[in-house]
Amino acid sequence: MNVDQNEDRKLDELLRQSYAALRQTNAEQRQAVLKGLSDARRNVNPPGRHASRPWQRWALAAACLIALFAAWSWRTTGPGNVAYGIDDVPQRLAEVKSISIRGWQWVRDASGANKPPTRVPIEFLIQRPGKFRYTFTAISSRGGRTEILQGADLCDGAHEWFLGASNKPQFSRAVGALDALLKTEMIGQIAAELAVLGPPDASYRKIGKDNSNGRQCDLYEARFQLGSSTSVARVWIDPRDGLPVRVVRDELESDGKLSHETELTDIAVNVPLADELFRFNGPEDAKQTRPNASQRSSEAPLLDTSPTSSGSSGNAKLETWQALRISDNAAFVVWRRSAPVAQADAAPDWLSGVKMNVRDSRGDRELRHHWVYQSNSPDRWNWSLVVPADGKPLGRGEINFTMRSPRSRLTVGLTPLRFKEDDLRQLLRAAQRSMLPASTTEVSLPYLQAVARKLSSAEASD
Amino acid sequence: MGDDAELAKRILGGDREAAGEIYDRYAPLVRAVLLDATGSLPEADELVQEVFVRGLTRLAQLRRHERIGAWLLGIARHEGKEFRRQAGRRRQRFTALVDHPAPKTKPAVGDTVSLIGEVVRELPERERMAVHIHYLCGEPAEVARHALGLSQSGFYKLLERARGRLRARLLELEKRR
Repeated sequence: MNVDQNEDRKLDELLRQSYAALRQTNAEQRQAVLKGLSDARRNVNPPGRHASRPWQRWALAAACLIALFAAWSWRTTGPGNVAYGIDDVPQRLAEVKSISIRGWQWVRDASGANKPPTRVPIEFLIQRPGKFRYTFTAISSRGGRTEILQGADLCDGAHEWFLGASNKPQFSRAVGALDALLKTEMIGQIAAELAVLGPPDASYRKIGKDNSNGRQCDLYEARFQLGSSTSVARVWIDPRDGLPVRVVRDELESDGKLSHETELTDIAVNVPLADELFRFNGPEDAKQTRPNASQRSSEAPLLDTSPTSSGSSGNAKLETWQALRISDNAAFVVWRRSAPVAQADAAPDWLSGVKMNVRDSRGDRELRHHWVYQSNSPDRWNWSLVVPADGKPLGRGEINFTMRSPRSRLTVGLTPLRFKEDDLRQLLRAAQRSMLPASTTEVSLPYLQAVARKLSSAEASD
Repeated sequence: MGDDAELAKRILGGDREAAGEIYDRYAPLVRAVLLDATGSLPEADELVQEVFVRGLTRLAQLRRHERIGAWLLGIARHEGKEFRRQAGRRRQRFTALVDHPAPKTKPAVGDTVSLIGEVVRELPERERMAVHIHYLCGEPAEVARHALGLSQSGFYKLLERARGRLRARLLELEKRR
């Protein structure tokens, strides 16, 4: 009897231990449930269970007629009450105050096809203006083994920290408000957008409707190349606010099977994000382990004007700083190149061998170019204005600068960032102070917009 | 537990706190049901949110408010089936994850706590539910009444049968070792 009782107690204890993980409170999930419920309630009026009274039936019938009329008039008179589609996603994400995107990425083991992939978290947190937290994954293959290193880049608006594996800080630096603003938009409009929608040339089609997180969504699908692999992406968009709710991306294998690539399950906008999320609160001795010259300064520069992307081959070099969207169909681009080969009896042509186009789901479109400031130097930045030659908006397009030389072909891509007009004015002013000679006439936003309009209608000439 | 009906009414009236209380009360059990279906705790966790949002937004369709727990468990079972169906349809090779291995591989015999979780999942569904309810709910007999349609004595008989089966299975595995 005692033996039985002891066995019972032992089994009971084991069962309690085995259920411990299931009993754990998940505060984040609880919050997400309550938010999902509020969101659904805001938009859906749940049907009452009680039998309606006659006047209620009449009211309901009248409401239906009004709704039908509204739907008909919307269809016939155009979108007054817009149902947003996937094309609106970049614009909508650029307008919100905060973005929280969380999900998973599956990383395959290079050593053997039968090994299960490792699931690593994806995280983008954006708090405008100037705060972000971005988790990145570095994958390398060493001796047939796949190594996965996770790091994070975070900024609280005044300081930026790069954290390596196990949240160990690699370095930190002071950043100015404009740099924080610029970097936040790079994370929000380039990295996060790439995670949600894939490359700019991804062409989505609506394949139906589906429910996700209690929200009735339009479901879109696209196939696109990422490196040597083909990805199949599905994006759930809530047509009421034009924002993504869920993203599932699979890799299409040679035998037609689909394998998990990424899944973003927790996408929220305008949610409160605690300041602590954007700050590194590690031990004091873990600071600035690998600072470079600019990082050693405790005072933030007005604007960090180092290149954000570059390509080089031999003596040929092509670098870019940023592309800033100044209207729907015009971008201001800061770039520089190695000196062109001088032609006899002629001034060097700094556009020789350079081709500019914009690439999106419609393919490559040519860009018209106008010099705003020509530096005539491989070390100083050029300011250019570009507009699509077809006069159509830039959309999600990526601006590509390609430079051909006898021995090489360099291509650098830029996503034109969206900013509010006030921010754009401040950025232009700071960029001018940091990059152009003091004697240069002020390059204002209205001036750039006026030139863009002319260039777009082909009236401008260089 | 008698106030499930009251909480359901408050949720229908837009009370977020009531929704939070229902979540606290049933999330572990819903998670267990989804873990049975998916075999992976992270996958189960992701579906928990969906079950609650779906269940609570459609609460107006529930006639007997005191059955809200059973209603959520029903949705969880449906979600679990849907998960398995989709996984089969997509011929997903990668159900197992390195960070949370799926139960296809035999658990280490020495790891008794993890082993017992696997053995519980081998139980017949009603017995498994009885074990889940007993170890995860504050007032198990009341939950079992709505979720399994059992009286208090019926629930404890079922639970005892499940425990007997668990003991026998563990003994068998012990002998094999």
